[in-house]
Amino acid sequence: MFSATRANLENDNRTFLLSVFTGIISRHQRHKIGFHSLKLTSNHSKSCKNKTKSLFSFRSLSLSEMAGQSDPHISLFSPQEIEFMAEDELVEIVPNIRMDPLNFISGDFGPFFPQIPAKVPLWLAVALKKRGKCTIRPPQWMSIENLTHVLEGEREDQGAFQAVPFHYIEISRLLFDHARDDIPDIYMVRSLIEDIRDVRLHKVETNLEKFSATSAVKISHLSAMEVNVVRPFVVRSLQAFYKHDNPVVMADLDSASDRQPQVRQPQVPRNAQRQPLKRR
Amino acid sequence: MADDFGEGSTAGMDDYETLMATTDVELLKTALRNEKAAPEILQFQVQLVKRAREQIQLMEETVEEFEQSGMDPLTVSLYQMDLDRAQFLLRSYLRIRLQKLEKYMFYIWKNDSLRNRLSEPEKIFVKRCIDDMEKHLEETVLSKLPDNYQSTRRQSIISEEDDMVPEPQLDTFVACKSSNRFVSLRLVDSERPLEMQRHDVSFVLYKVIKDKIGVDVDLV
Repeated sequence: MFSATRANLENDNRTFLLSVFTGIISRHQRHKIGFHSLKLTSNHSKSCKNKTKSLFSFRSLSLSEMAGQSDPHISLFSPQEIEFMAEDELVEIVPNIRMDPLNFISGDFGPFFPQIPAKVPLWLAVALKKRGKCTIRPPQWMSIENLTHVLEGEREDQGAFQAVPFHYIEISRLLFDHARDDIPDIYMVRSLIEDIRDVRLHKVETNLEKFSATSAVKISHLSAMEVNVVRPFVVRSLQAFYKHDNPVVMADLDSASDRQPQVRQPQVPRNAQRQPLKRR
Repeated sequence: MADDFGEGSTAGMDDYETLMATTDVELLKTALRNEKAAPEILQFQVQLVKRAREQIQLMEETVEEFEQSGMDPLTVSLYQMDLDRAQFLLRSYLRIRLQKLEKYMFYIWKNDSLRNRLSEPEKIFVKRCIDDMEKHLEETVLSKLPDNYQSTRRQSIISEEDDMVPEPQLDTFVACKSSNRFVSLRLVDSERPLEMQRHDVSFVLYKVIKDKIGVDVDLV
């Protein structure tokens, strides 16, 4: 018992040193490692895994994990909030009831007649669907043909993203959850969208490695959920570059009104490095 | 084919967005996103909040009337959902501002231009927050410290400026989208302006675009 505790302590110290060295492992993880495993080798592999994970936490993730960053203050929007925003996107439904026009704060929709398609926001479509009052027509971009094409495009062109709706992840997820019987070949569609998502995230990740100091990074066709996922890393690395380039400015934090701090930046040709993520 | 797909979807989205941009719900959503993504407090949207309040109140009355008049429960519940969504947006907007106010109250209060961005109720809130915080610090800690160290805002009497006031980090980067079809932003360090289409997302230094928020760009 005692020896085990000592081993624990020792391990804890070593992992601590290791983590100071890599500067990656959080206190929580250190704690966990120190208490739950005894072998240093396993610690090693574990902390290494942790390192890659926290650096690129968007590698092959499930939807819920995807935006569920460790620090809620940095990821800014929760996945639920982003989903809420996406629920105002319009979709087409085919109602099976008659209903008068709905004059909502968020706009006027309807009137509804059985078998006559109507455009409504996604939240309304889901609400009606849940009550069995309509079928939802999956949007055009969700056809197998289009998705296959997008996936091919994503794989072929490593430097740019294909055009997908800003909320494609949220919309498809909501439809998979609530309208599975309305989507033909749902398994195919689902796996295509998952593949597209993975390829895109991998692409962001590899492109981020080419990141360099600049005052702006433009990424075409990045979706809402993807913005939220890459935000912590992108913002922090850009900040770090900025800090190193502008030591004077950083010392002078109060000058919020100082609108030309970047003039003092060394004029390195940055446009070259900004290319990889740009749409050509 | 890929082009068809791209053009078709973006064109459709453009039309949709311009159509939807007319509703206050959509404007409120944008205001919320901007407020949430910006490091400092933004101008309070007086007119927008006023309109949203009025519409919400009106809708509350309408829903009540519907319920009493024995209207189809399905329709009533849909109206209620719409109402809930609008209320959620408004509350989130006000709440995120309160969070910022609590965090940076001293900083906001001493700066005139920041203070003017607040609504009247927010000003009262900040004032009371500051009073309470000062009283609390006074009673728990400061009164027990030597004379030179009793300021709530300065480390000691020799500090030349307020060095214990939390300030927002303005040298940060934000993600933004063009709020129109196309926008061209002049960034200080590059000779080429940053050009953005509807579908582009850019991470830009906050200070450079802060005056453009709500005009040319919206934060995401």
